[in-house]
Amino acid sequence: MSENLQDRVRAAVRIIAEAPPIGPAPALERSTPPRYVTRRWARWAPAGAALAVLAAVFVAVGVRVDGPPPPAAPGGSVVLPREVAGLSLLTANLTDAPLRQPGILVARQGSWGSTWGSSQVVVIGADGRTYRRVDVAEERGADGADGEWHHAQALLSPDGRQVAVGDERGGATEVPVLDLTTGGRRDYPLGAPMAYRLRAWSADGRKLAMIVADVPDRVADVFQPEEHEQRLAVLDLDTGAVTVVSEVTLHDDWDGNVHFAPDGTLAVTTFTDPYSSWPKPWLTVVAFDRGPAGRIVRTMALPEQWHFGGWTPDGDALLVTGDDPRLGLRAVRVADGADVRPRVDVTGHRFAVLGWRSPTVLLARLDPEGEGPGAIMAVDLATGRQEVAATLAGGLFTRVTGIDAAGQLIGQAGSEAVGPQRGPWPGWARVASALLVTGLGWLLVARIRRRQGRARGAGSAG
Amino acid sequence: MDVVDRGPAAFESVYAREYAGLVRLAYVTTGSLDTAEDIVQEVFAAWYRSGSQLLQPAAYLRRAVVSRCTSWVRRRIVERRHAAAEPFAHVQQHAHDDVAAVRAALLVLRPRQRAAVFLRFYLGLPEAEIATTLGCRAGTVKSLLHRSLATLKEKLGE
Repeated sequence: MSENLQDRVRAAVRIIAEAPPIGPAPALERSTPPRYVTRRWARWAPAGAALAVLAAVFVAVGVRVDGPPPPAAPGGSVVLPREVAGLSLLTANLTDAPLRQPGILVARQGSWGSTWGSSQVVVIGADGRTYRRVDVAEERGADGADGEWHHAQALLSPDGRQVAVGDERGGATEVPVLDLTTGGRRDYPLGAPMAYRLRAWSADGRKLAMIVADVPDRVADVFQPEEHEQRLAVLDLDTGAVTVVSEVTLHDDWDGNVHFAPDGTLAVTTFTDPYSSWPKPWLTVVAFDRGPAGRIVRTMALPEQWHFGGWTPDGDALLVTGDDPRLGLRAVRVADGADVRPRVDVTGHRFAVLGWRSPTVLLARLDPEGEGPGAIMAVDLATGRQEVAATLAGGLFTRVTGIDAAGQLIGQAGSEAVGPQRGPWPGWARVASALLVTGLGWLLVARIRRRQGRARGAGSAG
Repeated sequence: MDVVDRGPAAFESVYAREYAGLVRLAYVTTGSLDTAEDIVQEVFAAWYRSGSQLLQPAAYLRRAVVSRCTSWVRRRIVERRHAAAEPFAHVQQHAHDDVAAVRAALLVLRPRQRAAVFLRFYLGLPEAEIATTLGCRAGTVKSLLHRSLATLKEKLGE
C-alpha cells in the first residue's frame, strides 16, 4: 500500500473514530465491591483450601462403592433422572468403562478448565444413573479467545446409541463417532484438515450436519469463525462421505440454527444483508433427494425478532422470540408461514429444545428465573403450561453448564429419582487413596509406639 | 498477565484515561455509539468486580472490548435494540470523499477487521500488539489487514 494511500486511510479513520461526541467517563455502576489482592500468596489460599477440602471429600466418598454394573442393554424403561448430578472427579471415562447402553443426556459440567478433570463432558445412560466422561470430547477442548474453556461438542444421536465428537481447534482429520452400546469407535475421514462444529443428527441417525471451516493448523484457541469461510456440510454415515451443501451460503460471523426435519430435510437459518443494521433472516430448507450435495427446496422469511428453534414432530417450524426470561413460542407451517396454533409464553433462561413427549409437549433446557439450579422443562404448546422434568446440579465448581439430549429417547423417558453410578474409580484416585490410608496407618502406629515408650520410661523411673 | 498491588485509585485513573479511546475502538468495531458506550462500561464494571490489578490495563481492556463487540455483532437481537440509526451515523453526511469511502469500506468489513483497521491506523499499533488485542497470531493479523486494505483500496478508487 502506497504511503499516500496509508495517509488517506489514516486521516479518514481518524475523522470517523473522532466523529461521535464522547464526553468524560460517566459514573460507573458497580454492583459488587472489588476483591483486591493484598498479598500474592493470598490468591492461592482459597484454592489451596478448596483442594484440601476436595481431597478430604474424595477420601470420604471413596469408601462408598457403586452398586452392580449396569446391564449390557437396558431391559427396563428409559429414565430421565430427577436431578442431573454435578461434576465428580471419580467418574470413569468411556474408554476405560464403556457405557454398554444408549445415552439419554450429555452434560457439560464444571467451570475450572480441564486441568485436574475439573471441566467435563459426561454422558448419562438410558437407565438414568450411569455416568461416564466422554474423554474423546474432553481431549479436543480448547481455550477460547475470551479466556474461557470450551468443551468439544459431544452430540448424541436421536436414539442415543451414538455420540459424535466435534473439533473446533483446526487441523482435524476425522470425525469420531462412538458407539455407546458396544464401546466401539469409528473415525470418518475429512477431505482435508479443518475445524468443524457439529449441528444436528438426522432422525434416522445416518446423517450429521456440520459447519466446517478450512483451518488446517491446530490452534490453541477455538477457531474464530469470522476469519474463515464457513460452509454447511453433511456427513453420510453409510458412505463416510462429507459433502458441502454448496447452494447454502453462510456469511462470515454466521451463527444461526441447523435442524433436521422429521422428513429428512435440513433447515438452516440464513441471512440477507447480514452486515446491515437489519439483517433479514430466512429459514432455508434443503432436501437430499437428488444427491448428497442437497438442493434448496423452500425458503421462509422469519418474522422480525423470531428465530428458528427446531422442528415439531408434525414437521412445523418452532419459532422462538423474546429475551430471557420472557420468551414466546409458536409453531408455523413452513409452506405459508401460518401459525399452527396460538403463541404461548414461557418464562426462563437458555431455552433449547431437547426432544418431544408428544406433538405438542416439548422438553427443553429452560432454567427458572433467579439464582437456582438449571432445569429441563416440559412445555405444552397447546396450553403454555410448563413444569420441571429434571433439575440440573448447581454448585460453584460442579454445576451443569450445558445439556444436550437424545431427542427420541428423552421423549419416551419416565422421570425417576436415581443416584449416579460413576463406574470404577480412576487410577489416580485409587493410588491416592492407598497412599492416604498407608500414611494414616503409619502415623497411628508411630503414635502408639511413642506412648508405649513413654509408659515404659515412667515405670522404670518409679 | 502479571498482577501487582495497587490501590483503588488506580482503577479510577485508568477509567478516566482509557474510557474515550475504548469507546472509539468499540464505535469503529460496531458502528454504534450507544452500543460502544454500553460495552465499554460493561468491561470496566467486570474488571472492577474482578479486582485484578494489571501492569498493562490498556491492552487487557482493548482485548475485552473487541471480544464483546464481536459477540454483540453476532447477537442480532441485541443489534435490533440499537437499530435506531445506520452504522457510523455520525459521519453519514461527511463531505470529504475519503471519509465516505472508508465508511463504505467499514460497512462491509467484519468486526475484527474493523478493529484491526482502528488499531493499525488510529492507534498505530504494531502487528504484535494488534495480535494480543485480537487474541490471535501475528499471521492472522497480517491476513486481516491484507483483506481489509484490499477493500479500502477498492472503495478509495486506487
